[in-house]
Amino acid sequence: MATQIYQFGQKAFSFQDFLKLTQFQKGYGRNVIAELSRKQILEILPSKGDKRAKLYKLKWKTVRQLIIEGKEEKQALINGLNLSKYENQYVALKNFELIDHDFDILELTQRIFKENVDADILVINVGIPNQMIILESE
Amino acid sequence: MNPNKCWDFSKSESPPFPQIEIYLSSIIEENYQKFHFKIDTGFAGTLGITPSFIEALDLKAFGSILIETAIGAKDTPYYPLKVKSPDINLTETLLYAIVTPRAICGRAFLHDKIWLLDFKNLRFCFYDNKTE
Repeated sequence: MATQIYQFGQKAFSFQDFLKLTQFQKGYGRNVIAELSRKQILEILPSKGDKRAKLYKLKWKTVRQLIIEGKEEKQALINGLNLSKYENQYVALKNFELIDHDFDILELTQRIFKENVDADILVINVGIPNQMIILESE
Repeated sequence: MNPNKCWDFSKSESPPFPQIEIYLSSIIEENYQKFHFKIDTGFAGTLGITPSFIEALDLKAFGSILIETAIGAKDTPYYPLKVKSPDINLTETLLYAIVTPRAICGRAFLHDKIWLLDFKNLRFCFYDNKTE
């Protein structure tokens, strides 16, 4: 997986933009784009001018749902968004952007859902949390 | 010092296991329901809920977090929810839950309150801080 792709965030990008960012060979890059489209992580935007120049956009809702379901995209998203400076913390994300972070998941929960509930928010840990939840009895 | 509230757990299971009642609601649409939680001081989180709670309250996961269990670390869905418990003077509060094999109430929930685990009389009691 090309974790760098998450750096595009909500911006539309072309295949050439993708190759420039990842430094992939054309053939390999095409396979990656096809795989991401198959997983519905990418959507193809309607072209305005040149119909051969497709534009792509990442689908936050799909990425968010895959992570909640425990799929591999969690680490790819952390790497792609350069969240390593929040190592050992919990982060709240929306549309590929950081909105809050904390070592304490309870405090983070109480801040981000205090005013209103945004269905696009995603909470994950970065690395091994300093205040990890331990469940001895399972 | 008298307790504010005690829960009799003599009939809950054998060997006896203390439990309390807590009201839970979705954060999206208020739909409070009462549930029973076993007290588990080996659980560092707030609440552990079973899939039947998720179904009953139509809870939505808002993330995935790493937890440590007796058999290793694993990712588990994260459910923010609203909680209240008049018995322990807990007014509506935002907490979170993870999925566990049975409904449990952990140290982060019990934190900052005085409790008495009375195995002689098989009751679990709450003491308001004001009675300290």
